[in-house]
Amino acid sequence: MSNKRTWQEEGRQNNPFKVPDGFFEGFENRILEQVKKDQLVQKNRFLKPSLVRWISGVAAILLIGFVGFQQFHLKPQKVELDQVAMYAVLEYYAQDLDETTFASLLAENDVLSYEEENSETDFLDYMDVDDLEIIEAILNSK
Amino acid sequence: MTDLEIIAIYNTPGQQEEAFKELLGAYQERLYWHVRRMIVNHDDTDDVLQNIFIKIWKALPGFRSESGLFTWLYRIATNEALSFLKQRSLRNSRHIEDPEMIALDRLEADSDFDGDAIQKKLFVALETLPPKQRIVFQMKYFDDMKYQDMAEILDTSVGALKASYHHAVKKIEKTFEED
Repeated sequence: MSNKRTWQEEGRQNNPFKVPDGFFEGFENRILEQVKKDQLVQKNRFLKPSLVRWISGVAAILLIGFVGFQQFHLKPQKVELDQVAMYAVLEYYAQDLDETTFASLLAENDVLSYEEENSETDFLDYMDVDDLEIIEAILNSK
Repeated sequence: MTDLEIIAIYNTPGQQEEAFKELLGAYQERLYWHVRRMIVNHDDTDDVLQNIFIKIWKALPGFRSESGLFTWLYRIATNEALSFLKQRSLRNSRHIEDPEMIALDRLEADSDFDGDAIQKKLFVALETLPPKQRIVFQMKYFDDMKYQDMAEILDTSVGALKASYHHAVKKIEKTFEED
């Protein structure tokens, strides 16, 4: 039996990870305690209604200014129609084909560019503030 | 209790904590394993899972039920796990260049991992994949999730997921063929 067949068949058969006894019961209690603390903090938080109205007003003015700036000063992004059409066709085929057949439809470079095109945009939302700060620090250090 | 029942309890005034308790009971183990397979180490998984549920609690008032509770929870969990992996990868890259060696050392030092040689090799190979390929592979291979569900959770297309899975399998196959 080849290694390839072995990992595909046996790699997921038994769970190799152990969990400490009673972990889930303890975990639930810990989270609920934190939630109670959080509720207490929220109740004690004091924000005057007049201050909330003032902040909302400033935010609305800034938003209107930003939208106005975008409307009048930024050029619309150029859309590559050929590329959009190609991805639409690929996505249509992707619904019914298995991974190997789908990938074999494309030259190796096309598969990579297809994956990269999607991954860059799709996973941007997953980056949180900490990640962006780290990336910024690396860029600044260069 | 179904997702819709949990949401109904949450929307009842004064019942938010009760609903969250039900949500915890229904999802803590599923999300634990989702995160554990990505992060491997139990203590790190514990930390990340705590962050996940605190974020869920804080974000619940803004939850829109049309996106589906299951999808929404998995999206938050995946996001947190990916953030952790990125940070760990950046920390490691400052010291050693060989991610496979780091993964193997980490796995061998982990007393909560008792997999056989094949599983050890598989998880070491997984640690060397880019985070996106890794999460796609794990959701398909271990959880046998449908591409359509994965597309909703990861907010991407079925084609991109299939391409990612294909590449992940090829890389893992190559690792096993090298022996």
